[in-house]
Amino acid sequence: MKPPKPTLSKNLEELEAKAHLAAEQRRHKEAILFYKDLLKQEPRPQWQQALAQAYRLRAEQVAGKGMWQEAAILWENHAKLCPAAKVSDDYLGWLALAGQFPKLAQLLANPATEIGDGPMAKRLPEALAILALQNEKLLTPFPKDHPIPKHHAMAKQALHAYCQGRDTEAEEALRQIPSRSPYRNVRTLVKALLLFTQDRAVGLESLGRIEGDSLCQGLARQILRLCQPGGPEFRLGEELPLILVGKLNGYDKAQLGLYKDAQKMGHDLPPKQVFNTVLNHRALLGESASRRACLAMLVGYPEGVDLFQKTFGKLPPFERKRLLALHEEAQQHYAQAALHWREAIDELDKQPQGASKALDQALIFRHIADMAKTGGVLNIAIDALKGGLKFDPDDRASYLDLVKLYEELDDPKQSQTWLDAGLKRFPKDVELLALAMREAARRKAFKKASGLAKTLLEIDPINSPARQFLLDAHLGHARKQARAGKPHLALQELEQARTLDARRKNAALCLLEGLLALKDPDRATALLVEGWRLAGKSLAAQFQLNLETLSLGLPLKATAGIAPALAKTHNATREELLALAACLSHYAGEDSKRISEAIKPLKTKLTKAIRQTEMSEEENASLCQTFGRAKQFDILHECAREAMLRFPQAAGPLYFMVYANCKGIATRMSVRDESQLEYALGLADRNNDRRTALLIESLLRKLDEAYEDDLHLEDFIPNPGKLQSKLTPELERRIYELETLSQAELLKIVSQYIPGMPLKSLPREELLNLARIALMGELGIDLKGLLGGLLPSNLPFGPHKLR
Amino acid sequence: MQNPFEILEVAEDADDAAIKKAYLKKVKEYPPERQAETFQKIRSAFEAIESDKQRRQYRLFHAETPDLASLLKQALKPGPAQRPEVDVLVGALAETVLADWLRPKQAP
Repeated sequence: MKPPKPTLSKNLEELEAKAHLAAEQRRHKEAILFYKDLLKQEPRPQWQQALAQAYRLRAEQVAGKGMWQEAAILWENHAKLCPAAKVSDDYLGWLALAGQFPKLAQLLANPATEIGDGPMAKRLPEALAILALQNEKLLTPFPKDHPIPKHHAMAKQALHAYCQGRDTEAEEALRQIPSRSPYRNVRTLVKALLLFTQDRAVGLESLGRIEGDSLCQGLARQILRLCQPGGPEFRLGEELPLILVGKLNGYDKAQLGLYKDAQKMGHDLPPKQVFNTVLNHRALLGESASRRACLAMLVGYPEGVDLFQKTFGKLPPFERKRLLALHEEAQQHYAQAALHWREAIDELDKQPQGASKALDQALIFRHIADMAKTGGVLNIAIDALKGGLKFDPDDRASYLDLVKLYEELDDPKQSQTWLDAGLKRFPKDVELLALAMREAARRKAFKKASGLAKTLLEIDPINSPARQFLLDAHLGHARKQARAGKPHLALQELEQARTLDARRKNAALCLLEGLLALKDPDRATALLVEGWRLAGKSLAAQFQLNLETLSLGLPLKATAGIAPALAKTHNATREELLALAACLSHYAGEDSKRISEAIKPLKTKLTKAIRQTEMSEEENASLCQTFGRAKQFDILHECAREAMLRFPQAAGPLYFMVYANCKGIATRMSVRDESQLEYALGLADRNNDRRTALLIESLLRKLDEAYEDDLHLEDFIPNPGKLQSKLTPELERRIYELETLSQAELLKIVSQYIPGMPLKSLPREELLNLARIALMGELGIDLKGLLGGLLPSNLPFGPHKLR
Repeated sequence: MQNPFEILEVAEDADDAAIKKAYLKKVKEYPPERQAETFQKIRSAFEAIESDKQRRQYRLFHAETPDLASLLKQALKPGPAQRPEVDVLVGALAETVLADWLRPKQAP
């Protein structure tokens, strides 16, 4: 839309303000009109200056839109108002882009014109000199004694003579071009081309003599790159001087055709066209090289397989499946890729027997497993790993993977089976032994774990996990002996532990030594202070001291005045919280009651720290997981609550909140908990939070397994499917309604069905469970019959649910 | 990655010993302290095919990128140079001159 033409105003101040505003707001077109208007009324120099400025800025604006001619005219208007202004590079460029070369020639020819000193201005004489070789009209404005027209004829003669093979004449003409002429680099170029005809390498070397800032460099660079004796250095997709290079390289028709097609290859040419180009020029490219290139292209262009086979012969079925699988992988369609890989395995099966074939099959299975692991489809990964071991049972990594995957799926039985299988095949493998040791310790098979640790240390004497395990085992025995009232045996265990910690780095060992020396307060204090220091003098240190005290059967106050303690005003930091989490993980196998007792005096500090400390989502999740594992559900609740406030979109805090509510027991979950978990699972999937998704799935799986072992509708009614499908929506609605009822209302409902039972003392959750069962009665099921086998022996009620 | 067999200049059916020999020869030619980048390329190529299992994995799962530039270079090896027509030469020169001269104007 055209801007409104400003009306002539007598009020100059108002008009000036409008002009300023327009200029400020980059409405230069309007500003020009306002300033012109002002100048008509009064020729003030500042308005003239402002108008010149507006012309210049408007020129830049229109140039930005590719309107080169308009930009050049506006710049000329600017120059008229600023006679002292030198010709700028911008103006030169706009003239050239508008194709106004004669105007450029006039500028250069006019001695009165002051040309600036920008990079374009500096090279204007050379540019015009060379352009005049193509367009002689550009010579018109120049006086005859100007170097451009003066040397133009010699340069032209040299070029013509070279192109027509009159080398002596060309050389003579070149000799007449002086070394300060604007044609001096054309002289070097033609000289190099003359040499190039006789000796390609020498000619190319001579091109190096062209001045670095000469405009002839562009062509020289292209010739250097594209006319090498070994063939052109292509940069696919760039514009190439087709005919010139074709001539200089002496290409025949076939080569020129290929060269022409090659130019297009980089312009996002569809794979089909690249494929066809290679096929069409295969005689020139070489049959074998073309076949290899086309085969490689089939991964991105599987549709070309028929044409490929027609041209180069049939591909083995295995190869076809392999290419399809690789194609799907490249599209990240892993399920489809796995399918093709399995077909490839089947194709290999059809081939004659041999070790080589089996190894390929095993490798493909492992490749499928890797893809499945990436996609988080652990069951498929497991199947594929097992498949691979059938063909190549000597793959240690597969055993390790299987153990870890089953661990991830929370299937310790299978994990152990594969660990045993791996150890049977690789009895001296350090990694497998270490895994077995950890697994045995987890199952509290300490004797077996100690044996494995000793074997590990024999093979690998500096194996720190094994060393740590043995040390922990001695400490565990020491605690046991002390609790059994055998301090001398406890001390013996500590002595043995000390041999494994000669550099005195283990806090627990020092603390235990100190606690067993309480009869000698000075020595005890020295050891406890050392242990306290090693434990980090923090929340974790206090927890460790408390726990070790309790583990010896001593009361917490036993160390009062002897061991260091945290100040009442101590504010725990983020690092302390993380250190405590690490310490709790270390004591994961300890009695949870003892852990609760040890942590109890720290709860206030801990809660305060959880509320006040800034932690990342990852750190918070790890803290929650540790408290969950240590069965510290009230602290976990606190932690999850804080995380829910800080990371409202994260799935982890929701899961941990439910986990805290049901105290880690799936069957204690309420319907609301379950629906919250399902919501969190969706959230985890959307956030790509695989870790939380796995935790949620595991808890939900436990719930499902419990249901399977719990009451079954079919135990009570014949043909439950029909009834269930009819009742389910109604049941679900009513079950949700129950959730909203008060304790008194629940009691009223349940007592109607089970009169005379001591229901008042039951917690809400148990009442709710009974109400759910009662609901079934209302919907036509004989509740008395249903509960007959369960009551009263099952009271107080377990978490029975009907599904 | 460029074909590791080509980088090490070994046949595709070369065995462990031949590959190791070729690798050590290349390392001598391009020692890591002087030609770190080339050495890294050689090292990666060696690690990709040093054992039979790795060579199999490479052949099974590596989707080779066709090296079209090398293919073209090979097919477009020059013959004896011919003289271009003067219009062709001057046209190419004028075109590159103009592009070079305008480059400062077109640079962002």
